[in-house]
Amino acid sequence: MKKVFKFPDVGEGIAEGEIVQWLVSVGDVVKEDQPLVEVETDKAVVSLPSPYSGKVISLNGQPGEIILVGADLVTVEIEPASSSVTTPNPEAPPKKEKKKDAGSVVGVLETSEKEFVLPIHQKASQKRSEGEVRAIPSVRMRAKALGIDLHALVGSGPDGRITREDVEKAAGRTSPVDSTTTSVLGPVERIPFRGVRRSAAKRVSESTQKVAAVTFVDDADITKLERVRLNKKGLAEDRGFNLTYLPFIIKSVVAGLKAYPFINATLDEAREEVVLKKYYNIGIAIDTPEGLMVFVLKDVDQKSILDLAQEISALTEKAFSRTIALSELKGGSFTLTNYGVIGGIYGTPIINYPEVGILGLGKIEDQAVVREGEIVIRKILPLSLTFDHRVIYGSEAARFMNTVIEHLEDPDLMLIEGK
Amino acid sequence: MPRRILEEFKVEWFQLLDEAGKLDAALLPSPDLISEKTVKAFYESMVLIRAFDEKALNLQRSGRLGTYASIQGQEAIQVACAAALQQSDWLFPSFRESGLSILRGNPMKALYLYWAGDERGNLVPDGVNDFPVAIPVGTHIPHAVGAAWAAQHKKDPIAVLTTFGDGATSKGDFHEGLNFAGVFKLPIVFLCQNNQWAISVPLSRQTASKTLAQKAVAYGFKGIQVDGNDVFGVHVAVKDALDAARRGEGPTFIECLTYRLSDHTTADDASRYRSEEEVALWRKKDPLLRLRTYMEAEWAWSEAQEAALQQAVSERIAASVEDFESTDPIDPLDMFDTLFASLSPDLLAQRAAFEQRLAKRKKP
Amino acid sequence: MSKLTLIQAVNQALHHEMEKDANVVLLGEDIGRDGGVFRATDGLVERFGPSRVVDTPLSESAIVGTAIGMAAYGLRPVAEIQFMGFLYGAMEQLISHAARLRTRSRGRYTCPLVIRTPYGGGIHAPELHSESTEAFFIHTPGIKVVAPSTPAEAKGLLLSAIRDPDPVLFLEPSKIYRAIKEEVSEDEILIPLGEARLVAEGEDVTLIAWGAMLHPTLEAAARMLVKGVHADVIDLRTLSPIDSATILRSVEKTGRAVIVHEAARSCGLGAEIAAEICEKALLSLKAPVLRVTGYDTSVPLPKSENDYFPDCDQIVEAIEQVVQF
Repeated sequence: MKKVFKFPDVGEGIAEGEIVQWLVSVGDVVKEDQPLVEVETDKAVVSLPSPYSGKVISLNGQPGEIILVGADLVTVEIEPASSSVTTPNPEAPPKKEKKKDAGSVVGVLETSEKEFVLPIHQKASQKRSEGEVRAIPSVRMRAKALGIDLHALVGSGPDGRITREDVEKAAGRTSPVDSTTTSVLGPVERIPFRGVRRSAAKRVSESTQKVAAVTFVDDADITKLERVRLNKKGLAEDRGFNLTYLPFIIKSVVAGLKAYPFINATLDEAREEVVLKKYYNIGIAIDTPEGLMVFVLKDVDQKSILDLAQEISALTEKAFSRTIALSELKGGSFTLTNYGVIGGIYGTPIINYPEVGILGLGKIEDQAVVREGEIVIRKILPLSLTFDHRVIYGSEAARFMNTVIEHLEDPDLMLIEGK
Repeated sequence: MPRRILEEFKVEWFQLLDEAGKLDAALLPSPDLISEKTVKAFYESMVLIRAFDEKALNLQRSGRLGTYASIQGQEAIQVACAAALQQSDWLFPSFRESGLSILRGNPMKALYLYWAGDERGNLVPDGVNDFPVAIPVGTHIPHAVGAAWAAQHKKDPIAVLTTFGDGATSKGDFHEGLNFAGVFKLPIVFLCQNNQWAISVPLSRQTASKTLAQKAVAYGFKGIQVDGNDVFGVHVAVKDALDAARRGEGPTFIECLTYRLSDHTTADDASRYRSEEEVALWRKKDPLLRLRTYMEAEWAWSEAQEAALQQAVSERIAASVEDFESTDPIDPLDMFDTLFASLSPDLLAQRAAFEQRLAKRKKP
Repeated sequence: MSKLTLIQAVNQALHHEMEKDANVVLLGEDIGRDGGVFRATDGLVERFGPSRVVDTPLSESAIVGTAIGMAAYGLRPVAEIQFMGFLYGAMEQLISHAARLRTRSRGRYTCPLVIRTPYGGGIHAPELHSESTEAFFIHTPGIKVVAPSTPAEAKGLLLSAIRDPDPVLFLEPSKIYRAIKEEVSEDEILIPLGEARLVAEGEDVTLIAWGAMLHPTLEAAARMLVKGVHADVIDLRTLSPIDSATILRSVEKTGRAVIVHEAARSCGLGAEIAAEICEKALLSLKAPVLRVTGYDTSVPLPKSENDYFPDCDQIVEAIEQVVQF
């Protein structure tokens, strides 16, 4: 009867082997244990003994072929089993092949030259670390079910923990105990903390926590500049836009940023690098009915003052009509905030993180100042520069301010420098 | 006060059939022991279990069996014990008794399954009062003692045999078991297959006693040393001891002096720690060899008879290997199914999850 | 520096310590002439002699018991128990005595003993050669438990274990004794006990593993990286005392944890770690802490063992569960 010898797993977890050479041919009579074939595995060349005695009917595979464990290897027509038991004979002890040290006493140990190499440290994924939000699991589930982003909430629980109530409120549901109009001290009104107000809150929180903010104030004498602006104001209006001081201020600021590039930068803490930006995108913070918004003028060094004025007008319009695009609200490298149009002289504006500087513009007013020993009236623009002291030295900030003021006080500089 | 001797002991050596195949008939309890029928039955059994053993080594070499502990050289002990035991007696083996196991009625297929790593091989058939293989050395000895205690308690007319190696005599369980048995005068026979090696540790490192047999003295009963390669000697000694146990005369310790002709297991290489000369010396004392020599002298046992026997044995082995290899693989869920009489809800849930996981894998 | 297997690294550590400290003695079955059944003690009896590398009679209880006495007397014994499954015979000595000697004697007697043993499964061996019951010993006050995951780790941790003034159970994962190689320095580089290491960094999930299980865990992390999931992978190294700080710091960052161990589920070390995380980092959790473990059954014989031990697929599945929770 025919017996098929399948390629065995010789116990070391191999999956396949390569036939090196056949040691028998079809038609040969073989005895049990007689070596039939040499197969190379990834460990060694092994010679496989026949499990059967009989005549070789077929050999499966050519030298050089890969054979999988479990595949048919040899078919043998077996004769009635001949003796395989060692006749005990002390004169000729059973020949024992020299055993290779298996280095074990039971089982089979996988042996490999495979080297262990520590994985390359993965760059942290760009996602914000969400672990900082503190909330118990049931609150997280509730927020998820309601579609609330926990990051946008300010927790009212211990240590800023977000509570169930915080989540419910954010979703606009009133809490079971209706306390919208009364507090223990008197009548109150509760306004849902959402939208622009809420995201602004998060931004200023983040900035305040991360930045080493220092504010530095000074004045710019824009008397000369005023004449230039008034002179050309009509021209702009004819073209359909306003010519405010902003474009001039922007140009002066760019002059300063070019001279002091660390103020037009970002600190990449993870990589421990200061990223100096070679582009000049100035954000303008404006007050809209919905709240504070910052639109961004891109590549201001490539644009003329009139271009900038036009763009400012356009973007302001869009901001007010809420048709402004997301891309127009992002990508700034430095920000200006003009609270002066409403009021106020000096301030301590909060940096638009991850930028490192913000210039606050106060109320422009005629002031009595001393020039060459005489009291004169000048138009003064108060400036407040908040800078990130982690990245910028005070001296740098002061010199930057000086450069800005220099350009504001002498518009001819803008003319001859051209950019 | 004069010194006086409180206790002295003697340890007997017992041998009926020497290496040359010469029998000391004077020591025979009865001539039936050496009737042609009995002797040929002994020889056939030894040939069978040696063939099983060699086949197992072969199967391991070609990856069809896992690590296996060979009995080569120890066949006389195993055949003698099987013959001496009654069906109703209980046996507590260690892990080097595949021959004894087969002769007690455990199918060869089951042994192949066990050594291939399939739990179903551990199932002992009804009516065969054998414990499964015990891997941690000597730890089964107290189990044997407990069973003997129970049998005595229930007044069952049975005896218990437990077998172990020289290494086991260093373990606490050995001493605690023998002590217990001595105190309660239990119907148990402790049989040590002293094959003189515990992996690489020789007998001289295992004990400072001159014999292992004398350790029984400390526990209040007799210990004898028998030539383990003499099937007649072992048989007489074991049978006497079992009978004594059954008669309520308490335990006996039988040290069978033999030799482990093979490596400790198929993964071991004994040439690392012992010499070929020593092995060759003991090959001359091979139990099959001397019995064949005796049979040739007594009944002109011929080459033809030998060949016929080898043939018959080969066929039997081949059939059991075929049976073994055509068994369907074990269902992995089996690991849950004899864990407890019934599974707790948590375990049922684990089992169900496992079942799902296995089902998913089967999908192409 | 040379590329060594784990067993070679253990051997190198033993050579080193025996050279450096004459009080270090080794004892165990087959460790002398045979060099240890896995060759961990290869060459040592030839170099240091049989009085410092002792082939003992066959008795685990006696090995551990006498080692306790040796340690109390001033030696630094490193006992080898051939397989973790045979340590059980010595549990009384280890738990009732080694673990308690210092406290019982108010510090008058101490037990600077190391028990080395191959542990864990995957070498296709008979019953009781695949155990990973570290939980029994982690639960025992007074013993330290260590499980290296690679060759260099094995050397560094073993040096520390031998120098530790208290009993250390050093679990060597037999599955990877020879399956991997690593550059191992010839210098004396000690890896402190009680400190875990971050093997990979990511913000999305924390994976905790030790011993041989570190490797399928890293494989799972690599597979998940392709899907955009970044994992912190912690190799615990010391199982008792565990480095809670590293674990908590990571979970506070990621909010998700998966613990992998081949030991059976119930009361495995994973349960302890999960409880710690729950207690101390609840507010950071975004998903339940999952454990990928062996089943609560005896470790089966080789034909079924691959289905018992956790594999990469199971770990990947658990990571996906926590990420999608």
